[in-house]
Amino acid sequence: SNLLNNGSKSQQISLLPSLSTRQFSEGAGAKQARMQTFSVYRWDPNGTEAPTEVDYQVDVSDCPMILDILIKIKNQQDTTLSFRRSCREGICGSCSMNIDGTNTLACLCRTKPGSGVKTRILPLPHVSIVKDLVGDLTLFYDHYKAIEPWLQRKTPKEDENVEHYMSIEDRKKLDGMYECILCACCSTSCPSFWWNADKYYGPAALMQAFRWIDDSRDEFTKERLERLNDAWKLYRCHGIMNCTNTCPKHLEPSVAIQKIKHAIDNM
Amino acid sequence: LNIMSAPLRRSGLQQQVMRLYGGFLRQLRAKVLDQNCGLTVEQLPEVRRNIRMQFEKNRNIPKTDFMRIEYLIRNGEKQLKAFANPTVTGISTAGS
Repeated sequence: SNLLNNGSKSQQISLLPSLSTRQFSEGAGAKQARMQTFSVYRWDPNGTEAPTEVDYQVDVSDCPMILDILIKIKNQQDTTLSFRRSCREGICGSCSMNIDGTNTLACLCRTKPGSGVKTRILPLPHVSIVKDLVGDLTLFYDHYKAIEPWLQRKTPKEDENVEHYMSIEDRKKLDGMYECILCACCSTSCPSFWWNADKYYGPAALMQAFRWIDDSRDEFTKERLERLNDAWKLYRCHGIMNCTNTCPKHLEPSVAIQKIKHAIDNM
Repeated sequence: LNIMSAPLRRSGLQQQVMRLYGGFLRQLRAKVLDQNCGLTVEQLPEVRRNIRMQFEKNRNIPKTDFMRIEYLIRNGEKQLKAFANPTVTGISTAGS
């Protein structure tokens, strides 16, 4: 914009005269339409049809991320398309889904370049479906609750009026674990979790369990480790590493799970 | 799920549905017996009728449509869990 806040116009100095003339000749913001095909999983629990994959042709020139495309389909083509989304910036973890075989956040997954290409959008694998791309994450949340993700103390604070102190080195130990947004991409990519979702806690919950085990302020470390020392909750992990591979926030749950196993060995 | 035609053996899925139905009725009786819950004996037949209606609505789903039946069972179990909470005194559904 050429207007300053006080309403006066400033002179726009054109450093690239050829660029500005091209802009004026094509019309502001005009881009070539890029058509791509999106094959989206659809299922309506209140209908009678079986699940299908419906193809949508979308002009992706104004859609940098897959979430933009889904919103465009919902706005312009099919309002009944259901999917979770909230922050559109990769921090809330709502829009986790399977795009071209990989579990990621739709708002962080870039649209493919070019036109005429096809992208397959499915819900998270081996998850009961509520509708279209919305999966039932109840088991995932139950496992997170089961690890008791809060600070547990035996001794009171030295001074009631200040927080629990923690050294800088101890705080660094939590880096790479506290950033987890519980999007469920990792747990839903783990074949062990597919086959034992009711009993195996899954990489997300286990990484958060280790986040509390490694927290220097928490005094229930031994109890936390003992509760995890179980053939089902922890040891269904066989080092498949799909979790680290797929995490959209580039965290490493498999490293945290290894650390839990080491800690139990050394207990 | 056509359960009233008295099959020779109920399938596992049919058993799950019946267990859910029984769970609702048992929970209802427990709440009525427990005075603190605000549910009176007079309200019993109506609530029983409402619960039955919720199940009857879906009677005609083909028994091969596992996805839909499991979806409904999951919803029912969530509602039952919410109903079983000691602070809950009633359960009703709005709309369809």
